Amino acid sequence: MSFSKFLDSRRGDCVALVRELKKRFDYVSVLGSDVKALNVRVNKKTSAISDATDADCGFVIKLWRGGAFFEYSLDDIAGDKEELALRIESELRVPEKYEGREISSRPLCDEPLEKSFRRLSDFDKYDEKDILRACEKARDLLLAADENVVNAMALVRTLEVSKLFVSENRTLDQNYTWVNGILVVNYREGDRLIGAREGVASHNLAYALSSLPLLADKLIDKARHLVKATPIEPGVYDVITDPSVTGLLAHEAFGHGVEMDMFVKDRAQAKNFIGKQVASPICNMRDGAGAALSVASYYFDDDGVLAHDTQIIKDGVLVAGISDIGSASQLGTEPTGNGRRESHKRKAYTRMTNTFFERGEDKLSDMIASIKHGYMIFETNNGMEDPKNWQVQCVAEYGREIVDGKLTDNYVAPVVMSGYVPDVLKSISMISDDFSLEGAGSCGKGHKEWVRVSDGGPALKLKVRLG
Amino acid sequence: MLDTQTILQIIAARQDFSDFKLVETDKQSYEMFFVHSKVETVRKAHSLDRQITVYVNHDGKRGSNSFDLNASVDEDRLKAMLDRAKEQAELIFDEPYVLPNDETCNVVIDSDLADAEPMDAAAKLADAVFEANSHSDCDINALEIFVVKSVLRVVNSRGIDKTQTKYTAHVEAIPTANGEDDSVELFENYDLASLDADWLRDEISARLDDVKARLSAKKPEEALSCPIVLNANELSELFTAIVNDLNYANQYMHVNLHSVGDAIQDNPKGDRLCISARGSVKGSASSNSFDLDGTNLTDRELVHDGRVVAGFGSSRFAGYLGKTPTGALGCVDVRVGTTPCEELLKAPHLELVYLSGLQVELLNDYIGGEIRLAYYFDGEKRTPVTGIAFSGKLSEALNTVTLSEERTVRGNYAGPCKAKIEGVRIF
Repeated sequence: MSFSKFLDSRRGDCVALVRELKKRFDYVSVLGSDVKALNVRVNKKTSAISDATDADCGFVIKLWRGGAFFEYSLDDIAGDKEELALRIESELRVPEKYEGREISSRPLCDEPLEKSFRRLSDFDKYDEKDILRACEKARDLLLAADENVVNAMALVRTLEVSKLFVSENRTLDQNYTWVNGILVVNYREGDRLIGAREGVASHNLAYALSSLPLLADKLIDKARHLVKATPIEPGVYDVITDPSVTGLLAHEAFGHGVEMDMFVKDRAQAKNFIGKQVASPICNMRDGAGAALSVASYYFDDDGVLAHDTQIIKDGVLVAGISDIGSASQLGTEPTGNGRRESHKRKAYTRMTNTFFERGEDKLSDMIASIKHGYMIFETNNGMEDPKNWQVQCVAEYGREIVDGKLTDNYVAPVVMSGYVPDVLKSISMISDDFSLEGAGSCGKGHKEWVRVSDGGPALKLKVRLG
Repeated sequence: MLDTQTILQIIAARQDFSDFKLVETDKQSYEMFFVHSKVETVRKAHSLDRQITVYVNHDGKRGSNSFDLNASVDEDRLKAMLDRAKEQAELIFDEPYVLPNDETCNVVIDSDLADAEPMDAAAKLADAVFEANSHSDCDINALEIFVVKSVLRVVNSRGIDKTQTKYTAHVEAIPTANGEDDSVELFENYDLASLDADWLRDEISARLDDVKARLSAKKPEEALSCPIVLNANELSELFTAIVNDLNYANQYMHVNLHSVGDAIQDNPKGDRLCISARGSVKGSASSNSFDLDGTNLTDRELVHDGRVVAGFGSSRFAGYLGKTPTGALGCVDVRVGTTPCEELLKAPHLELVYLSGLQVELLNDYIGGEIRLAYYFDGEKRTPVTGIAFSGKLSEALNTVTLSEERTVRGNYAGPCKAKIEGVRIF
């Protein structure tokens, strides 16, 4: 795939608009986004090919002249720049009552850099028909596998991102792709109906499309077990998290808590714990668009800051947070390339990217063998953070009971893991030597501002409350 | 950027589509972001989103394809996109369905937000939030305000041409209480259909009282065993989950748990539930007059006295099932009970104020969540508690539900202010 022709055609407009607005503001940047997103979905009875809600096309202008930040989002910046600049300045007003009641902030960094970034992709080799056929093949395998399957869905979501960032001193552009394939079955046995899913993610369609049908057997086997799952007896257990739930824990327990716009608002306890022990000494955690290749991997963020690989927890000690350009400006720190927007229409906040625990040295089999009675829990459903008070809730799709060091076929569902973050993280006693990232999810700030993120890591052994 | 008339002319000139639809959303917002009581960011956003769907009848089936139009699309590009859409629609073999037809309207959903300049409305809402704080040890650590005008237009090839103008506001506030050694917060967000600053001031004031209580809340020394009282936020999540299951699309796919005639309360010991899906509810920002197909929204009672009596949904899936379409209804209305809130709170109970998120899983017959703030009433004293969780069988919770006689509107929910459920485990 190639960089957006539309954004290419607006390079001169971006430069001219920055120049015009620089007459009025100390800092000006323009971010152009052209994100093509396609959903191909087949069910038992319906199919659809359509643009997805991740699609985005437009521009956002960020401005600063001391104090508060200003942003203006619009579909296009073509036309008379002087007129546009005047319109932007006249419409971006602070209500009279709040004039003079603005934050203190330092000038935004604007180090000179001109660079283009491209990630190789095979999207050009496939069209919608190829994707549809792969989905149909996977669906048909699922429907044929078991008469209890009442519906099977195969979904492929492709993302092709082009972004152009122009400020007085920087011109950056990037183009990259990502694809998620998801299989879902609804499985009925007697009165019981359950849903189960499997997924695959890659920057290449070849891998995703060839892998999708291969997941069918595993998914059917899981559905057959889940339909017999029972509720878990609430209590505190020795628990092993699979990489998906490990990632959810990283994301909810500490990821949100080290988003440094939360530091600015005094909304995160982590602000007071930099340099202190917050987790078991065998724990190491990172975040960064440059830390791994997954759905949240980009070359520069929506503030024009290059992607980082930030170590958040080192040997159990909290060492750093992550930030966007605005919060870094208020805190007097360096931005870490974590400024992300849901779309060009929305504000940039500090957001996680690829967030994970680093691998350890234990074998998963040894971890299971070390547990007399407990559970291994699998697959992220959802989670909720509480950075201020360090409560955490992670919902896993299901768990499997461990008895006398052996993983049984006793499935429980759903499983809600909750607790006080330092207690949970300090209870981590073993970490497996394998690693994987899940790149199928989205993360909100509060209850909105959805961005695609990945999280994961190895398996963790910990002691925690399950309900 | 192409104008709407040109787009419609270009599509209508094509003979190779069986039908087409254009959905256009013109949205303007003024946004203020505060850190503590200081302005951090001011934003304006103006976007015109367009999505075209083309329908092609072929081989006794019907295919469709939807694509977005953005500012980069000129006439030649649109024609090329339509060619590609036709090819893709021919890959789809769905059962035939018809689009809604021959209706036009231009609706403005009544709101006093229409009368105010967006910037002034935002300032008024900000004032209300900050004025609510009369506590020296409390603060609003962050505040976001969005004032939005949204114009939705749906046009199709069968004579639908409908426009709806809607004014809403979104407020996200973080009431915080600061102790000597500790600081705690609540996360509050509101979708507002009107500029009711007095309501917002009172609401934030009550939440500031709650956050002060959270500061002193402790984990109970002994496990609690008592009924649980849910408030509007949790009731909204609970009843929305039940309503979503009854969507015609779920029924058509056979992925619904309940069907007409099924009891969602098989042994009711409390109030019998009556639940409706509605297009609009006065005071709800989720209100609409038609859906994205252009179907007028028609209210529908889905559950009567604890038993499913109907489904709801779009013209396409209603057609598949031989039902009357209601449109995609976004509001949930639950009939109130006969017990005053005061009565509901007389006996020992745990009243949930702030959860990390209510988990309602119909398929697993589960309800539960981690409790960040609740009030435990032992029959004499009301004590704030935290650090606990609850879980139970959803079916049992519904069988024991007692609904308040007082009614409220919150988000997409209209119904009892409070409800008491029994049989859940607190741990």
